[in-house]
Amino acid sequence: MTRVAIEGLHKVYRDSDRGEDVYAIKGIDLLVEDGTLVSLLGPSGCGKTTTLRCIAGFEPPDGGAIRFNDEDIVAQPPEQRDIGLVFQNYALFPHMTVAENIGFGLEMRKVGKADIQRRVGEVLDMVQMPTYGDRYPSQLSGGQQQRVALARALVIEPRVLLLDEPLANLDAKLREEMRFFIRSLQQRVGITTIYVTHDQSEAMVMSDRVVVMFGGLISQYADPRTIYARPATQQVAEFVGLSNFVAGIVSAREENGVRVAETAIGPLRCTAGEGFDVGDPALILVRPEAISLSRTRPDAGTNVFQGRVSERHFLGHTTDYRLAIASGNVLQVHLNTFSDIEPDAEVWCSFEPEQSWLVSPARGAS
Amino acid sequence: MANRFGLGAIVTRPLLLIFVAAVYIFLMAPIFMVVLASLNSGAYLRFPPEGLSLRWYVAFYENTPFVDAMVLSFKVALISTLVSTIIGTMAAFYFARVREARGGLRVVLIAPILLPEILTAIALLLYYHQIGLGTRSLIGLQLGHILITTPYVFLNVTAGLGNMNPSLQEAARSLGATPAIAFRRVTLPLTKQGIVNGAMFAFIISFDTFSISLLLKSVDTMTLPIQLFEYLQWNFDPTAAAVSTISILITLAAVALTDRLVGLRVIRF
Repeated sequence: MTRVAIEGLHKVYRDSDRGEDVYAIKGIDLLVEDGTLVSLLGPSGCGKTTTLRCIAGFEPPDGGAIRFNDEDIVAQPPEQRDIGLVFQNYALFPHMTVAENIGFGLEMRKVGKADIQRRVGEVLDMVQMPTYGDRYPSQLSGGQQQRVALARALVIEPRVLLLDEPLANLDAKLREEMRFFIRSLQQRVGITTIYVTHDQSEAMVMSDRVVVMFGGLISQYADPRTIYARPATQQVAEFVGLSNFVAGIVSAREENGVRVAETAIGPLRCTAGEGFDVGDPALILVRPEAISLSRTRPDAGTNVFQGRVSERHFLGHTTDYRLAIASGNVLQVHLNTFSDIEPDAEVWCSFEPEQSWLVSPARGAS
Repeated sequence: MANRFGLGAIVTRPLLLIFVAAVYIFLMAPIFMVVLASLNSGAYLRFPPEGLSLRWYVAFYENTPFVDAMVLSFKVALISTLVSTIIGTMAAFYFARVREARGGLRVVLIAPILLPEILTAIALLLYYHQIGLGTRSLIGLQLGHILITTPYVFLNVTAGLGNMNPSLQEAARSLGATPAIAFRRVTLPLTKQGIVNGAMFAFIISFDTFSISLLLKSVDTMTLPIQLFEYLQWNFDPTAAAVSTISILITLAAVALTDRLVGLRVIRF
């Protein structure tokens, strides 16, 4: 039962080439509830791995607190923090068998031989590798090695499980499988887990909540659905999933957070959060699958405008259309793959207000 | 098309085999000749032997200067191995950890094998003279040997450390190991091979080196290679071959011992 709280975490690196300090983490506050899986998602260099290494104890933070329940652990060395750590490169001890690898943490905790043997057996069953105890890591595939690494981290029943891009070295199909495997294992054990990844679909599938980080700061902390449908910034929207943006100026406020925005393709009605008063510039975010196309003008509905199909790409499960619209934008639209709209066709487009979202234009963007 | 590869294999295989055999013969023949010559029952060092006998081994055993030289070489090589293994290993660990030291430290550490050995020997001789150490005792000789054997240990251990996944120590720490335990249980076992290989090279190089010993030995002591050289200047009987054969056996023993300790991938490719 561990709740992880991060308060005002800072980390500065000294760039000796340029002789200046570089902030890797610029003040992070984060609360990870007991038993939940929280992903740290962001591009490389956003500070997600540094944050994880601060929690693990391999990077001393330059400011702030990290609490497991109410105990600040910043001063403790890694070996006293009682964490389970899984690495991208597995980091199994190559000179030890699978059973010895898994037993290492128990041995460090002075658990008796018989108990070690029993618990190693149990955890090998749990990761579905009961007969692999006597093998060496070099005799295992990447996916098997990662399952052993998970077993090694879990067998000590740590307070917190930390995973640093654990699937990045696996091939696509195995990666898919392992996502569900890790998630179901985590839920069965009920362990508080922090998961670092740059893969947004991985974060979506696995997490109770997702932390999106850019430049050492948290841009948004929310459940996957909210991150996808109600991104806090343009940057978050672009990083998570595919996006269409139409620029406009708010012209009216309606009930239920709906705003009307004047755009080059006419007034559009969209959903928005706080702010966005009349006269504010805004970007209307519409995900490719939120747009519907038809050959004839829809009778009812709002947000109807015309476009011309400029490209069509077959993706298998969907078909990807590129749509030139009057504003000069090109919209990306995903339709059921059995739809059959020809390239160069003139079509009517529409989207529902609740399937759109207003974000502020990123500073400096045109 | 499949035939092309098949035919190619048939044509190149025998040529390859002949070439490899020729290289082996070129490398190994002198060693076999020395061993056979040492078993010669005749009075002169020649090939093929005139009959088989162990009389030259007896002659070696009764030749006190030779036995003394071999014992000395053995002692010097053992001490060199011990000291250079400790220094070379520690240097390699430091080198792996401390980034700022990199370029310069590496060059300094392997300089003794980059420079011609005779130059190192002359430099040490002058230096010993300057600081008053001289060559009356064996200390100078021993230091010279340590100097030229340390780079071999350093290079072998560095190679081993370079291949090691840096996450391994962190994995051990996360599982509850203190830095000292992580070092003993993870780092050290994984560098053992490099350390033992380095020690083997150190022993063989020290046992075998000539120039350093020639300049730095004291007047009344001889290492085995020097004694052999001196002996051959005035004598041409198979004792020299017997001594060489014993040297070869000692070297082989060092290699076999290493293989037993850590399994030598170097020789068992």
